[in-house]
Amino acid sequence: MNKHTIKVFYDTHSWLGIVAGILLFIVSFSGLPAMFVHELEQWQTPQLRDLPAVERVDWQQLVDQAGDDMQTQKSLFIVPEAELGYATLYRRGEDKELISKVLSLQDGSELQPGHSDVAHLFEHLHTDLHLPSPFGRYLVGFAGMVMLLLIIAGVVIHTKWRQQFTTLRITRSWRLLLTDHHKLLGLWTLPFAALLAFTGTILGLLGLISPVLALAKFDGNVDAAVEAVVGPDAEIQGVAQQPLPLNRLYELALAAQPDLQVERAELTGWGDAGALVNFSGRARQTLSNLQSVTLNAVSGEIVHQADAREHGPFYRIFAAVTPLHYVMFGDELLKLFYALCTLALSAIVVSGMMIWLDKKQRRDQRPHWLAALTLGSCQGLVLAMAAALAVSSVSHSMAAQALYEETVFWLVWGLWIAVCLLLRNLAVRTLLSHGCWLIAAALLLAVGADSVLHNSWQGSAVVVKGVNLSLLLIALLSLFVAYRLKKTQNT
Amino acid sequence: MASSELTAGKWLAGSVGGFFTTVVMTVAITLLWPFGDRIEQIFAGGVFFFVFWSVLFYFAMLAASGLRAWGRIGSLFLLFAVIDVVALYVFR
Repeated sequence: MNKHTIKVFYDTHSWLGIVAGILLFIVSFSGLPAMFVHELEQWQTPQLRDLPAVERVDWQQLVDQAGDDMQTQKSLFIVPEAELGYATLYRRGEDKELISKVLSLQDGSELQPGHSDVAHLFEHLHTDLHLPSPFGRYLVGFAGMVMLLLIIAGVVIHTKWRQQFTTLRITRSWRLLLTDHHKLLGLWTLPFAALLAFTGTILGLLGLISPVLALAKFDGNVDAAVEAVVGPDAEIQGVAQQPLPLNRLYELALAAQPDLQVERAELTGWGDAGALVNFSGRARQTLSNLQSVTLNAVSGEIVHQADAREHGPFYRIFAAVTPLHYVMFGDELLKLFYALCTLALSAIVVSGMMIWLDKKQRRDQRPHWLAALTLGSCQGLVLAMAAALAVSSVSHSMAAQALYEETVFWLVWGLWIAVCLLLRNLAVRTLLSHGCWLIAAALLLAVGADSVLHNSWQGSAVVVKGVNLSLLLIALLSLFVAYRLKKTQNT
Repeated sequence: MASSELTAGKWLAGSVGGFFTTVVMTVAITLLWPFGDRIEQIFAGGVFFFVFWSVLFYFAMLAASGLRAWGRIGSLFLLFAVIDVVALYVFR
């Protein structure tokens, strides 16, 4: 490859990294809690931790116990968690607000899940950056696209990759440490980073282009395209009619797709002659989460089926995107591997920016404001998440718990950015070290409070212990990094 | 002589021009893909659209100047736009 080409790729890699680095860090690091959102949901709700698992979900019991406030002619969703012993029912209110209820799978009684929403606070940062729909989602998709461009350029410019696979000079200089770290992690996590960028971009940006394609292929009728994928809407007839028992409809759905692992039921127009029920989820042993069966709730007739295995390769690829991106397959060890790779990816983004900023600081002989902003935004996000977890842990049973979590999250993040910008004349390593101490303190508080208030090391589900153990390990890692940074400053 | 300088023209051609060219390109693939049903044909165009975008982006960045970058992207845009029109209005 000639010098001109390498230089173009090198410059593009540098500029894209600098311009989009902070966004990339936010999206990639928030992927970590988003990947473990299910586990965090359990952690944030001590009231639901120790329910007995059930062998079989009694769907009809859930509908019977739903109560008047869940009755709707629009969609009522039922999401059972058989292993955890409860089901969540939710619907949209008149102002599109979410109305939900949690029922026991043992006897259908209503449970009080508490007021925490810390898992979704983190998850939304990854899926839409808390921006209005669909712009937030598109922005996250663009971040995936930029990641893909960075990976392509990174592969082209790293010509000595065999040597870089094993080079990490820890004791030389800060700059060399950053450079080796960036190349080493980049090379080792290349397939994983490419997979996440690929799937993340599809999830974020396909919504931008698919209406245009649907318009072209369905002669301008986008509704027909949507119906071909997800099935028809219920036609409410205004005539009351008793539907078949939901357990019977569930059996009919399974008869149509025996290996459908139902994760959700959507009831539309329930009690009306035109009512429909849609059972959706994954197919066992298959990377597809677009499996569904829609039935007429009165007659039990199947009106639509979605089965990725009956389609061609492109549909199958699309059906596999979400399971691949959020590790909806394999066991906890695979999730742990994903988590480590996500951390590595976040570290690559930061080290890449730091290399450029270190170079600039040496040239200008003064700290660059972008270095402070990078540190404040990236470390501030980790600190804000740790602080939100700590607040969540100590404010259980308070009605405003979710508000406290969110307020503390944004406040701590903003404050740390401000601190880094105001104190930017301090060495980066000093600020980094202080931030690590604070992160460790917040995480220790979160785990300590959860252990004392909810006795989480005894009796609680393995998942909850796993979350607490992971938070403890991250706290210890932060303490170690803080100690090392302090030590290198003194030498 | 090719220039290695990254100019605003190249960036715009690669990002904005590349995006719109990718749209007309994926519409062309969707319309012409001969296999599967209509949903499969939509995914045939849509699933890899950002891979095409990435290729077009670097195709523009590697041009000698911003004008040449627009020339590259513009000519591809026109080519695929003509294919779209022909596929939509002539062969339907």
